[in-house]
Amino acid sequence: MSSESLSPRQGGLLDPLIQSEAWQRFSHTGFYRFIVFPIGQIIVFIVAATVFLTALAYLVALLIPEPRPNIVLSDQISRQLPGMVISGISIGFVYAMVALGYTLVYGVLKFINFAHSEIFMFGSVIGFAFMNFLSSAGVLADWNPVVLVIATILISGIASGLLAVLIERVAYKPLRNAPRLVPLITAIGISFILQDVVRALASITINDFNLTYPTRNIAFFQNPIPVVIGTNEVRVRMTSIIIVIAAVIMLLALNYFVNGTKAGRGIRAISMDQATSGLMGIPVNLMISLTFFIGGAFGGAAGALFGLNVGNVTPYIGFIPGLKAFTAAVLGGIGNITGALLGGLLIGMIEAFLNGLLPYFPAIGIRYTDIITFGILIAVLIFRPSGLLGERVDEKV
Amino acid sequence: MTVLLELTQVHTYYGHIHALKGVSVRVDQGEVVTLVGANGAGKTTTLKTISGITRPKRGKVMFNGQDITDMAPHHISAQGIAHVPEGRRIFPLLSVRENLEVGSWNVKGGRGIISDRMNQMFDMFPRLKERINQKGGTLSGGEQQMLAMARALMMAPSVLLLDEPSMGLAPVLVEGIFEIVKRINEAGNTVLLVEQNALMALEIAHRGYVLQTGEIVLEDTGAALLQNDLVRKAYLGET
Ligand SMILES: Nc1ncnc2c1ncn2[C@@H]1O[C@H](COP(=O)(O)OP(=O)(O)O)[C@@H](O)[C@H]1O
Ligand SMILES: [Mg+2]
Repeated sequence: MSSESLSPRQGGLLDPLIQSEAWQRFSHTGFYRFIVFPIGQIIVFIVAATVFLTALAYLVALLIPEPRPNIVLSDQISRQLPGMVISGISIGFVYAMVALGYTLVYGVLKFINFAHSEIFMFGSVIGFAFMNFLSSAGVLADWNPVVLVIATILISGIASGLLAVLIERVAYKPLRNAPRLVPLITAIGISFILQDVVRALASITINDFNLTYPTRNIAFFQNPIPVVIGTNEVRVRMTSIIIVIAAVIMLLALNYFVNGTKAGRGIRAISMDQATSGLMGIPVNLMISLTFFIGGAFGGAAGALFGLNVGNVTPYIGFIPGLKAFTAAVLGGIGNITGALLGGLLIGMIEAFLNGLLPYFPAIGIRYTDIITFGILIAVLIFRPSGLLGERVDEKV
Repeated sequence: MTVLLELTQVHTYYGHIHALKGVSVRVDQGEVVTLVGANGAGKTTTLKTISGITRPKRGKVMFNGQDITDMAPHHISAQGIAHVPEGRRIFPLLSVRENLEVGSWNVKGGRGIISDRMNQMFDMFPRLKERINQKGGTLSGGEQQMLAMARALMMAPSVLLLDEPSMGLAPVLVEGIFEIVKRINEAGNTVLLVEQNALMALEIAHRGYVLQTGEIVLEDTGAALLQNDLVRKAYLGET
């Protein structure tokens, strides 16, 4: 979320405003850089993704007005639109939070941490373990739901962050000078180890690795909230709202950390030039560990939110969401924090639209959603490997 | 004169390439010492060995009476050695201000000290002040060199290692850079200057070393080296 990425080019319509002294002063205040700008950016991304996908959907409806007899696609679109947008936003934020882990680590080490999907899984399992502990102690229902959510996010986030740091120290750091394929393969190996260790632990302790969040029985989390939009009534799940609020708060915090603190500046410096950062006195290894911690914490918190939302997790749930978040990171431009946010929201929206509309097409079901999503990954890798926001041209060599 | 920095019989390798073959260099407090030599002689490697980016296989690097041979770069920098690397290596996506802030990573004493130092840098390099919010990567070559030097001076180092500060700059700017190096030294800073531009470097240096394929072949005062036949033939382009 660099504060430059949305600024209009020179010669734009907004120049008189942008060059005015009052604006110049305002745009350097912390309030603008850490509150107004990032929230504005999130809103712009959501609106842009919604407009783009809605237009695309109606375009398809124009070409294929009646995919099945008596099913008018454009009617279905307008009826389902609010629901698709809301679920797209909430799953999009989950992908964005996971995508940040891939992108932060890629930024400092130029390495794709494929074990990150299992960090996400680990977070969802820790979230379950915490709530299950409260539930078996008989106090779960007594906890204020807001406090419960905050505690779950903190515990899952911290545990997952520490796990990510441990993995980096034990498995990746010794390989830092090895050929690039070596840590990549190691990361895949770590994924399998984590899946099986979690399964073993779950099987030993509760004799089952299908882990059902006990919040399923709590009305606060389960009863949908009716929201009237125009003539439609949409039922919004509480967990979707929780995801959005938690994600926005965490994204603001991350933006402040990266762009407003000394450690964040150090991490950005390392991502540009590791050797020179060391010369400046930056403790490079410590900052790399910190990056893994933050990426892991975001992945783990996202895992817990995801678990809360779907209600049931296993040691194997990380793979597909992890791959989608990786797609989001690549789509936005791997290594670019703003790109991870944009990519996550886009992938989430695309998925929600496909889930909403594909069932109306003969022979294509909801299962094609994943095929199309990963088709996007392949297309981006072929046609624009630097992603939507990846190309930074202001770098003079 | 007190010895500030001393390399003794340093051997540095890149894999099987023996880049430094027993280099011994001494820098005293308050001096400008220059290391001249052809491309590939090992000048950059000498500086990298001092600042810890590469480790010597044998030999010793002493700084302020302390053995820094095996220290990590960020610890060496905290000891007071500021290395301005070859090619400037400013952070292209950080603003001028942020580049200077990164340079003050280990500065103790908080915001006040840092902004005082920054103002000193702006006195020395007024151009940087005009560009304070501009990304480092958008500066011209000369401005980037100024930023690289200012960023290192933010540490208030005991010794400044400069690797080819004049490289790639227009002749008028080269004069300016050497002028600044002289001023930095007159302000009390010790400088170890690596240059291919031997003439200019030897003119401002108190002492100099000539490096050839990883070995020191000559060592003398700057003035004496300027008169030396080998130096005149090999590095000053005389026949
Ligand atoms: N990263 C490296 N890997 C392998 N060889 C290197 C590397 N850097 C420098 N060398 C070799 O070490 C020798 C000294 O290089 P260097 O110190 O850069 O010389 P100079 O700065 O005097 O031009 C050269 O032969 C160069 O090819
Ligand atoms: Mg060199």
